[in-house]
Amino acid sequence: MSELFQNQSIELKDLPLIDPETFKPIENAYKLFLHLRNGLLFILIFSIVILFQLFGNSELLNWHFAIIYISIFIFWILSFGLVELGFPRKKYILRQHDLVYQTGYLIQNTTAIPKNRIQHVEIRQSILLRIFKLSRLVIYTAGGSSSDLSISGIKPEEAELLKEHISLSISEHE
Amino acid sequence: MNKLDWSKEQRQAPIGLIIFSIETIRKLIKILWPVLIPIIAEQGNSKQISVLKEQTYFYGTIAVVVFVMINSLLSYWFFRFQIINGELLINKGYLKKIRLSIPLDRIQTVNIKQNIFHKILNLVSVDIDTAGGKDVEVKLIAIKKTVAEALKDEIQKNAKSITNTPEKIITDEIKENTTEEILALSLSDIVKVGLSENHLRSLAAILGIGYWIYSQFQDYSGNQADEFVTNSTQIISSNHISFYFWIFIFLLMFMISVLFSFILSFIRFYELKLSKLSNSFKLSFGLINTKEISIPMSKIQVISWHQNPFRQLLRFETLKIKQAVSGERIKKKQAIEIPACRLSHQKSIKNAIFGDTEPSFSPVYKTHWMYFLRNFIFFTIIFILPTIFFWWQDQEYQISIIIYEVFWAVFFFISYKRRGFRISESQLEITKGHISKSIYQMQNFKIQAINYNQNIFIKKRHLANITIFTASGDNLRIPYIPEKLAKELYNFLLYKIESSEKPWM
Repeated sequence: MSELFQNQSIELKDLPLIDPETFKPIENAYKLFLHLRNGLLFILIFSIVILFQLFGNSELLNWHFAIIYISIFIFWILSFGLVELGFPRKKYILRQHDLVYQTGYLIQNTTAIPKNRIQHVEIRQSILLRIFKLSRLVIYTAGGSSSDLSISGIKPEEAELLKEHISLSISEHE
Repeated sequence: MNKLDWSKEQRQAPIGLIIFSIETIRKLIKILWPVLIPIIAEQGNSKQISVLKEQTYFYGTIAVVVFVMINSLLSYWFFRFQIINGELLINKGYLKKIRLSIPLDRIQTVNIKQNIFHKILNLVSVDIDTAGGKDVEVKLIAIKKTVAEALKDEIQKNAKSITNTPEKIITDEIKENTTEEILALSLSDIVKVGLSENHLRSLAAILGIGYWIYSQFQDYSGNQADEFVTNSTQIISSNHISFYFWIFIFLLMFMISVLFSFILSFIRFYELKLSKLSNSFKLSFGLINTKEISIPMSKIQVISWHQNPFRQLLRFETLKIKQAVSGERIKKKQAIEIPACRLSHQKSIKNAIFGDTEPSFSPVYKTHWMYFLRNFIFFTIIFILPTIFFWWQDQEYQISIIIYEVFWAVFFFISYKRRGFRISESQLEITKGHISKSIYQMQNFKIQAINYNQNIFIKKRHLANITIFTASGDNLRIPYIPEKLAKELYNFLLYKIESSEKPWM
């Protein structure tokens, strides 16, 4: 250990490190959800361009459109790859004193919110998520919207349990 | 008044369906206005409307009315609220379902409002807000006044300190107490502050105001303003006078902006006085309307010290105090600014906020030089790259590119050099800046959340970024530090927050 927190070394030992194996993964169905959502988005973009090619009287030539289609397709493949690579990194863990969530592949984020700083909790379910029987847990702190944590793709029962647990520990801290 | 049973799920007032409809229409207009305006404009222009169009409008209107009715009915029906075990539970939404739970003691403000429609229907809307960035957390848009008052009572019973409006705290707090004056600006101080302002900013402000006046003027007088400008620019651009003219214009502008900063600092900082009460600061200032603010120590989340080169010569630092904000206030973004803090002032302010003993800080940890490289490549080279084809064509271009690159290289080098942090048992101190230098200080236990992140490039080099979220809405980044140090800092700060029992606001 470096010289930085010398006096703290005893307490620091008790703390788990930042990337233990104990993190809980997101439901596998959520990966399918992400692919489907991206698919729908790209189909929408494709159809807009197709409509534009057929009905919009533009100066663009056919090979211009070919380039546009190919680049949209490449972006689709890229986003597909990013979901595949990033999904295994989506994990969370509820520890005794905090909630930690890990996400992202290109930029790998680990955000920790101490339980005694949580303001309130919210469960969200969009239509598409409901079809997949998944929900989203949003945890709010006083640190502004960028520090609010949102864990997508967990089972509704699990979200409910987490919410109960967090609510309970919030009232304990008061 | 009959007693309400909060543990039962409740809906808002049935007559509030009208409010829900109005709200739906408002949202609809907000989304559809780009489509609606042309339609309305078209209708105004052409007197005759074809049968087909009339039919489309007819069915369109029916569709909208049906949508509004169904949407308001469903939103009304699915919006339910209750209080169980000291928690306000909200269920809302039919397509997107949201379940929200807010512990009553976390609620900061409850505001009861009434607009014209509410008055007619004898209803009120209630905004419930907790600390933290987002907008108002809960809006009960149409409930009976008695229910609203009862709800507020119920919340107030459970909450420790609740206020109608944020300003309320301020007047309550100032009582007769032993006040200890920390700082009072003299006239010469204000003059110095005015002279050492960031004049470039004032210049930008003047140009902005000038443009505004010009556009106003143009609105009234039509093209005359334009003609005036083209005439004068013609004179300006004729070769003879242009060079001296521009120097003259530049000097004039500069003088105006100095004068502007000068007047502004007089208006803002006239008779500024900071004094310390038992557990708050009292700050009074202002020429036109004197303001008096009380800043409770517990609400202070981050303080920062700023110094530009002029002020460095005067040994002045500007202090900014950031308090905990809640949704409604974050928009105003009120930072309290105190210029001209000398060394002795700085010491007494720090002592008042952080306690008398100077903490034993770790050595300063610097940001890695990769940070400089990243910024430089990202913000300059990438922009230049597409124009590189002109390189061999034009010598003037070559020179301007070199000047541009050197300027940004120096700029990013300085800002990389200024980046650093140091930490003690109780405090974190982050330095940054470019031309001016800023130091941010906060108490470890007041931090709200911590983020540790690294992109795949810096991960290979075992570097990481730490972002610290505070309740004043400032996110402070500590970029490009060694992975091991970042993990240690992350764990240390988490430990400090989690083991703290002190209230953070």
